[in-house]
Amino acid sequence: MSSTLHSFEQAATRAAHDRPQQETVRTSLGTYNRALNAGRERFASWSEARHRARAVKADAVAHLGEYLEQFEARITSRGGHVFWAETAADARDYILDLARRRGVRSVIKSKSMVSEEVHLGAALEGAGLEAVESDLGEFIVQLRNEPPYHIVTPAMHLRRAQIAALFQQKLGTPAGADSAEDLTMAARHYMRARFASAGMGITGANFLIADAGMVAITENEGNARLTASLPPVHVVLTGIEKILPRLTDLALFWPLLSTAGTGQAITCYSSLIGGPRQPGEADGPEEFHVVLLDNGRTRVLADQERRDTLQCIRCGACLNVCPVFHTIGGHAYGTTYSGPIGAVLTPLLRGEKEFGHLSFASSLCGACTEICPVEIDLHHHLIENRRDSALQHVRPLPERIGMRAFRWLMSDAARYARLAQLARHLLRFKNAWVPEGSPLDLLRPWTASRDLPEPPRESFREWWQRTRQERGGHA
Amino acid sequence: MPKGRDHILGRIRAALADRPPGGLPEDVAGAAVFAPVADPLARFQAECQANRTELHLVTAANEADCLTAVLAREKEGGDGTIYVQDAPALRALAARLPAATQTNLQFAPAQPAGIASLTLCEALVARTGSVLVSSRCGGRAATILPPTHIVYAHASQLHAEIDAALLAARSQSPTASLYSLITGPSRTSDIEKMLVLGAHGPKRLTVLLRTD
Ligand code: SF4
Repeated sequence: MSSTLHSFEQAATRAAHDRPQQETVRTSLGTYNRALNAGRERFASWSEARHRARAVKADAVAHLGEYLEQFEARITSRGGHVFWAETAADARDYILDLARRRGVRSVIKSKSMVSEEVHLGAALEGAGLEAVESDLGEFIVQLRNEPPYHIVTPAMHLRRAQIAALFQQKLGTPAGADSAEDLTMAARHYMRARFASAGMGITGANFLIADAGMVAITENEGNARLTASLPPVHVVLTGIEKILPRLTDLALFWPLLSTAGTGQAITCYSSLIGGPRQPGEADGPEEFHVVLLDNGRTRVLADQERRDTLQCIRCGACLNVCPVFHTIGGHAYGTTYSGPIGAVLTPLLRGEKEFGHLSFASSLCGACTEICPVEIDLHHHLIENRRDSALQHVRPLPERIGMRAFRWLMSDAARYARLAQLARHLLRFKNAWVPEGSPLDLLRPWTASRDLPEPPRESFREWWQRTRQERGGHA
Repeated sequence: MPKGRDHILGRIRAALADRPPGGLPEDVAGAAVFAPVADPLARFQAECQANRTELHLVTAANEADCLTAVLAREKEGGDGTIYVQDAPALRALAARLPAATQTNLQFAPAQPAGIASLTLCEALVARTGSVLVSSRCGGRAATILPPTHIVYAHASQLHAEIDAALLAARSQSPTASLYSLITGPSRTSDIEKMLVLGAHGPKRLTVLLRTD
């Protein structure tokens, strides 16, 4: 058993029993659900919106190279720099070199999952730089030394009282100041000084607009705007797949992303940034760098079957509707991207060997596919991942025996009927010959946390035959 | 350095050798996706109310009084100055404010931020009740750092849809390094999904919309 699988099983079991945290997450997701439903009503046709969004992103992915070159040329023409990072290490090294060259001592960051993906925070700290997360949720988990719980709402698992205690301890906020407003203002005041003194601002990107040569950043708090305005250097760290062909595509993608992400009609700040301060402008950074990260994405691109996962706009909707995410939460996955998209993408990006098990952590209910605003066929990709995993590895002996027995059982209708009848009888009287929960009880692993339903007295097949006969042969 | 570029682009080309056919749809946010906005001004008013933008419809006759009333309310801010974007229309408007009002045409983020900023905008969007600014509207910080941001706009800048507003901004200010579509005051719901206004950006967003 790989160590990632082992720690996943442990963390998932722990999380599944953490009732208070589940309560917090469920309350949050309940609010999200109501907002999402209201948000979809604002579209004349939500399904048409998804349809077109898929078509646009599919085109963007199908012409990725051309669009990226177009994007790069425009950024460069305004005096910006574009760096192509093949690996996480390339991206980290580039940013650390830049910080060294500019004599940067403190960095202000705004929410970026790609920065989590390349473990930039740890690299900056390792180089002796102070790096502060400015997004409130991200700042809270940073103070707790935790990764984000969710790609859109990083601190959704925490209750207000926990955050108040954290701020009291780490920021010295007064004991009574524990309303959401008090805590937000405490973070605002703490951050103002950091914005002013930071030598470098680092943000992510939601979209890279090819025809405009601009980076689109979506946020509610204004911290990304400040990160891109005050420090003398602005670095955008993002994946190559974030391309959108045209500026006008944002008229669909901004409302689509915010509806799927939070239910809002549009996020508070939808910004486009195309370079450093231009001649005649009052302010803005002297240097502007875009780091385009591959880190396995071109490998996914080469996979025709699962190429559409690169259409993902990281809205988080598939996490929010996933019953597995509801139960085990965001941390158990042990990966940057959790939930259905994480379970599909992580084995593709980081190897089936270590992360293949995530594709099995799904009930395949299909809720993710149904909600995905760019129509990624998530649950079928989970099945494809499982197929690959089965082809590449010898499955455990009990599973192989089980599957063989299953094949034998299912290949003969009469045999199936006879054995199913026998099984029903045995199950009905099971407790008479094996005390429930005893070591002899083979169903114990299953029944330990679930109830075994009473087997029906009659199978469907038997019911069918009986009613047919009763109705004189005309069912 | 260019090695990474060549490698990535090479891998992309190889991966897409079997590129599937398919085109880019036109007019992606058209009537099939969003019902057309019938009355842009009415929609703008309704959306502003929903997203907590304070909207005042003004004319040449009452705009200075309205601005004076708006500013009189502002308490927060160290040195009490109002930063005014250096544009002829705003200079003229500021000149009509009460004599005691301290205005400053040079916004310096390092100084104690004033109580408010007064800027122009590139366009307004009716569908979402948004204000589109650019780095040509007094800079980048002026529209995000002060506790109150006041936008002075004209009804002719109102567009029904986001794409029309973006195209207008690009043709008016083609060299701007930043555009930002602002929808209401800054906010967060990161703590138990409770809405708090004024996260890192302005706590109040006011639009003075000239209708004459
Ligand atoms: S896979 Fe779809 S639903 Fe999930 S985060 Fe990506 S875009 Fe959103």
